[in-house]
Amino acid sequence: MFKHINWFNSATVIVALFLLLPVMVMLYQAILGDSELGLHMLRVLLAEYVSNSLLLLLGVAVGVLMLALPAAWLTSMCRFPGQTWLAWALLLPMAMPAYIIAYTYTGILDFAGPVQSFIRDWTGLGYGDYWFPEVRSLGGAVVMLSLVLYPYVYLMARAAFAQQSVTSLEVGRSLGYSQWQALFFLAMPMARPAIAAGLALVMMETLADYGTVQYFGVSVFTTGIFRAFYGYGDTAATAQLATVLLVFVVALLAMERLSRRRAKYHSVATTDKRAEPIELTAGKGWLAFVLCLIPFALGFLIPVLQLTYWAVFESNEWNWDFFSLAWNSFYLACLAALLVVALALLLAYARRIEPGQPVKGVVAMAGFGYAMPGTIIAIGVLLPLAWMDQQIISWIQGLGWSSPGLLLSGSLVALLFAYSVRFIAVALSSVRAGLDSIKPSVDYAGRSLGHGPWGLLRRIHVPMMRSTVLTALLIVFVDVLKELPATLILRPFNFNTLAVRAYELAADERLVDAAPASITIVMVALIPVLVLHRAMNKRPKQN
Amino acid sequence: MSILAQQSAHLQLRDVCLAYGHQQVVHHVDLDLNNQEIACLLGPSGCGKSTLLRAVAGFQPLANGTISLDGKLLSSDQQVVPPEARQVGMVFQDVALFPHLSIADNVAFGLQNWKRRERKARVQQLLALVDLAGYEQRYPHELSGGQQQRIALARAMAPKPQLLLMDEPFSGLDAMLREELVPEVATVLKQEGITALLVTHDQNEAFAMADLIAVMRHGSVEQWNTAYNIYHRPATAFVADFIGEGDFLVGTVVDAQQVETAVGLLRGPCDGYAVDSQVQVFIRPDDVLHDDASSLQGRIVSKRFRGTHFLYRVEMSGGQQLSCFTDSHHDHQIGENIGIKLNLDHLLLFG
Repeated sequence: MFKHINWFNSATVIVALFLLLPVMVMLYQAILGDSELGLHMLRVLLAEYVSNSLLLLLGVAVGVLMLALPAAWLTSMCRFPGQTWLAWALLLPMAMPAYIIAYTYTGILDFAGPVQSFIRDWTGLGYGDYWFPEVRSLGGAVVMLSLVLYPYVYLMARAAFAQQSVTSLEVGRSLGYSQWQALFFLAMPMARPAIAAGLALVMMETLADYGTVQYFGVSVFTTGIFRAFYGYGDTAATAQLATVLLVFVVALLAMERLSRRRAKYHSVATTDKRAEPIELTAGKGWLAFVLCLIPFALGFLIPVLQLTYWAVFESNEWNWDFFSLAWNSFYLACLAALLVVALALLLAYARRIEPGQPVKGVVAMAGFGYAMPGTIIAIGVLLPLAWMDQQIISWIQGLGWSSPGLLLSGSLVALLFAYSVRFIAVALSSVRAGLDSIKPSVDYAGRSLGHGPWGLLRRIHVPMMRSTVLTALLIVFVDVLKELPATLILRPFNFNTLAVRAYELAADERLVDAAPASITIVMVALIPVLVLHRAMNKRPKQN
Repeated sequence: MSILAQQSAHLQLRDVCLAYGHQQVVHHVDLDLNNQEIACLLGPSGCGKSTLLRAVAGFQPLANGTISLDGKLLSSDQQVVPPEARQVGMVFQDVALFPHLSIADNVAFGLQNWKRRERKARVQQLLALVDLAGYEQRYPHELSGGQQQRIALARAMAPKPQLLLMDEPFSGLDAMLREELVPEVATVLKQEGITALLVTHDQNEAFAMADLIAVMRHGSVEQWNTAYNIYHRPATAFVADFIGEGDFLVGTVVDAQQVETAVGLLRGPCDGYAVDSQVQVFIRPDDVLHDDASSLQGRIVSKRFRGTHFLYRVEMSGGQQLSCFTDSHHDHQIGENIGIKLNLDHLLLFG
């Protein structure tokens, strides 16, 4: 289709270059910029950021594995009370942004919160008489991030367990392994690449987190970058920190890609035959139930109940302002979703029509955005747009007119640009999955039956792509709604969204008032999780 | 009565060359296919047969030469009539049914300009033809592999194309199903009087379907003839070796009627070969008879039981090996010497 349209290729390359611009700007600044902070200062800061970030990564990795692996294995290989609904309930924490769960638990576990009040009432102790773990700490951040990020590993591990052929487990049994030995020596090792890929995603999200660590006062890369940029106003130092962070991210990205490839080889199932689930009865069954309930309860149920209680009974934020916030969030997310999916369609079609190396490479590079923390992307967007604004202003003033203000960096353009960079990969993978399901021979068949390119687009591509494009729109919509750091940095003056408002109220210790915005975000974010769950359970219809 | 009106499709390929970038993959192909004939492009994978088929369909531009159908120029190095305007139907290896459309809509996909009632009747007619009447409202994923391929055939035939192309249409099916479907499809095509060009790497499929076979290798047509002639009169050593089984014997031309080989003097015309020149003589296993009385002895190096007969691999005194079919009851041991006799209708000589 459209074989001879050259502008299509040019447009693709231009779009892809734009998507790469923020990272390029950061690298350029890191190498050639002049840091005022000085090497010594940077070294001191860097040591702290690196050690804290590593501790955070390690802690979250351990926490996520502990939450995800037992749950994944139990729900996919065993049968016990409540297993069916727990299997999907365990996905729900995906809808919970880390910064929101952080505020919520701070509210629950603080000195004045319900838990400590209850302990004091019950024991009669007063302030300082007893020890209680501090939520707002590195350890707290580890727990919060683990609670909302474990579903990535849970999903990947479950898929891997489900794909494992019963034959290889039966071979193990026939060679004298018990059921439990088969689990530890066969099932787990076979699922390892998939688990590693999920873990890499978790660690990327951990490195990208800003809301939680900032609120808990933990100094890691993202908060450091923020401080270097806004606190010291040192662009070069910001870019240098960002570059070190990018090295981490690229390493994780490589790990994820590699593991995914290996996971493909490791899925050895040759038959549809699935292992007969292991029946867990009585005590064992209840133990399994509790093990699977804990991640769901801590990661979703309790915070949602608390937020709902605050929002309904205690908050007085349900006013006109709230609806204007909701409207801002809604139309911003809609605009971004439409733009990002349109760009994703452009790139995906370019890749299909011109499957040469240059286009493929450019499209793959554009996909790296999802690994980039929002903080870096935002600053990488801000710098070039601010420069362009300066050029425009001086040009217009040179013509004798008054300054038009910040046309690009001070408007939604900057936000939409950043969202495109950050979320293009999500949209692209969804759209490409749809497009790949239309095999080239389907196009050929349509053409040999007398339909031209536009006929094919209308009669085959649009109907076949509809559901994947809608999914992509939905995912980007929700991701934009939840996104915090880039929105915080790039939002136009006096323009607030639900996420930003929740952050501001929480930062002012008005946790209860942050609840309406928070619960709204969580409820909307539930939609794609449920859609995902439905898609997973649906048997593949098209061969 | 035939469903298709009598058409005078006549496919003509003249000096067709095809290239990917600068690499030429099909070289100077000439083919003629008469109306209602079924032809087959046969060859090992990578020989350019599928590329050639795609060129006929209009998906592949020509580097040189022309393709015309019914006297109308379809492709040249200058112009290409787009696939949708060629009236050439195609059946694909991976079936390529439209998964979002019902069976009826799939078959009707090429009938977009037909009147509603005629379209419906045509769909009914074709579903009956491929023995799937009553499946109108089903969806492709609900059908078995063989049923899907029959629907793909019905879909391609629906707009009454002047030519039907089939790209390895049976290779995705298991052996049993293929065995069943190949003659069925051959019957349908013949019944409808369709002109068809088929690509396959399976000679049994080619023999079962085609009136004419083009054996291809490295992008060139080595031979274009009937199945019988391709088996018994292979034009090149490659064709001889690729079709069926057999061995090459080294020989020396003695005179116009005789060749001296390791298994003795073979008689037959040696036109075109000079006296004393070295030749390769091609011997098929069915030309090698087991005869205990024969003075020509060979030692059995391997044997395969095939139910109706044995296939023995026999080594002659000079180290030359031959294959030999024997009666199913002639059960000899490996290492045993048996007598053989050559029974050649004609000599297959290659330089």
